[in-house]
Amino acid sequence: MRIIVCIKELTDYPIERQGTVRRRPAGIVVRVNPQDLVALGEALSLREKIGGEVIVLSLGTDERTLRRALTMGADGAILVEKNEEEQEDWHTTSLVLPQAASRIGFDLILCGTWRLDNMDSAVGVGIAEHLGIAVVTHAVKIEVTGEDARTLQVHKRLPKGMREIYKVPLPCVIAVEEGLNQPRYVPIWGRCYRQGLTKSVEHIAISELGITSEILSPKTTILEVSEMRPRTRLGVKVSGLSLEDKLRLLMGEIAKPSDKQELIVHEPERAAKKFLEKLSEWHSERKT
Amino acid sequence: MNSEVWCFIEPGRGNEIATEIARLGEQTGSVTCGVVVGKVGKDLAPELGQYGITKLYAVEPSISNILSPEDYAYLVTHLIKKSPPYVCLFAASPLGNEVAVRVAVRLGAGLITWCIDLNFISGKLIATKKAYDGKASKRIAWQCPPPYLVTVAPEVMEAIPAEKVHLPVIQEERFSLPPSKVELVGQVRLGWRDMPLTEAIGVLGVGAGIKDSTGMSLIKHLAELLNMPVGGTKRADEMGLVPRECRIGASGFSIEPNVYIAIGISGASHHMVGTRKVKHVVAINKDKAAPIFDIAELGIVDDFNPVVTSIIKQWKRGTEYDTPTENAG
Repeated sequence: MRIIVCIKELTDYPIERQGTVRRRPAGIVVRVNPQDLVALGEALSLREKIGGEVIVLSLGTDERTLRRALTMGADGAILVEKNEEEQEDWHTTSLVLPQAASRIGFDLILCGTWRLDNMDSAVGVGIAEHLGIAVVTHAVKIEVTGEDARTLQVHKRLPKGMREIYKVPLPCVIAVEEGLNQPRYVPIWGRCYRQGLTKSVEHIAISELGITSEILSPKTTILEVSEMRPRTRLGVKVSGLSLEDKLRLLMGEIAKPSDKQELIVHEPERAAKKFLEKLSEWHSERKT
Repeated sequence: MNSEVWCFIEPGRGNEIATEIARLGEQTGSVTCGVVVGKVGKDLAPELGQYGITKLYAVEPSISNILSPEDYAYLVTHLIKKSPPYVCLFAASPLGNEVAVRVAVRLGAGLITWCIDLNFISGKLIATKKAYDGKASKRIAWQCPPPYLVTVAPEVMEAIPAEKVHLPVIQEERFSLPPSKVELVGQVRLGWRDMPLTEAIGVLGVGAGIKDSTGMSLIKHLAELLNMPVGGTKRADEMGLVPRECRIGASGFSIEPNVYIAIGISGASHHMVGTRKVKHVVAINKDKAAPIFDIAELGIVDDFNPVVTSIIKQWKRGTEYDTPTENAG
């Protein structure tokens, strides 16, 4: 089985903060997207279980992210080179990566669900949609099933402790989340690390993939990057609060108007009864 | 502008996104529309009307079993192709996000994900989103023609009833669906032992008031009945009552459940920062002056032992109440 792992380099925070000294130039690559390392770890353990090879693929500027993956045990690495000036959003990434992936050939594509620099979770689905294959995002457990190991059973994490279990035929894309596996620790005196150092990274230009700059022109444009400002929130209407409580609400000391407070002193029976009543009341309120 | 702005109404949680679209519709002066998929669509109309929706597209698919994100994307894509709106909003939940990305690829439209703000400034739509792990914010504009697709981050959405209430006009649509690529085998809800504190709907918190492991076993019994995970304060962790991974507060998790039951917790500020987003707090504590009683909706001033024993006893008797298992549905 050939597994492609898409990894993303993260660049440094581009804004000069007042009163801080910058230790390195802005825009320099500092690390690999953490969820993509989870994906790489999962690919490696799948290889250990059922055999095959793991190839890392990245659209970026810096070879070091891929070198890191090679020393963790990947078999090959391909860097699709991007101009540093070019603006890049998920549209372009999910257009370029499938082209490169189909050139290599694959059975499974793994990537992280969440991208830390752009803070979106679109690329995994975008790749699958461009390739016309199945995708499951937010994967927290992957099992290989089927007689010929051509089907995956994937647990998808939903909010509020819900899990959905999907059966997906290969080839497919799985976007993973933290919690799928433990991060891999690679000792630098180990064989895996030293073998990784001897492998080389293949470079491809975007134009070699048959993608013209017209198709690649980004759909969105960044006007400004600034330090985090809180959003202009819609107001909250409060009624029936004392002035003191309103002030405390403003200060954030109380989360919501607490006009329905009730105190029960030294009556365990009644307290328990009230507790269960309240619980069932809140429960039904959530349903409506 | 006299075009339409749309929002995709997810099953079970449409009011928040309806509020967002009503706010945007007010800025652009367009008709605020909702897109509902499934049979329940028409029943939702009066409720969505209260949150500012004036027109509702009720899409009925040809099959009636649970739809996958791919199916939703197919339906929404075809609906947009029929009469393109100016904007279409999605909630940035796992489902909404996947649907939005698929629709964007299929239409070749521009999508900005996880927006925290959306404004219509001098004839242009400008989105704000977080970047660099929340340290920075980006203002982004579209370079391509409409429809503009947006997913709105769940943390900024809030359901606020609109001032003008309309009964939405319902437009019904029917589409037949192609077969889905993935097969949904089943849904499970994690039990209280495996449930992460941050995902749970109800959480039990223990503090230094639960002195020893006998008290803790009583609490665990309650947790099992209510199906709620158990977290603790820093002191509870240090006393060995709960593991380090279950600490709630400044040095642990920030939780946002519907109900938080604080047992033997005084309510020190370091703990309370982690429970700020809790909707309802129940506090059981011996000390009447404990600051937790300021925020508790139900305060029980007593030793926890008789109270919890009594709760368990009454729960097991059970039939008097509709005994809800908080995390079970």
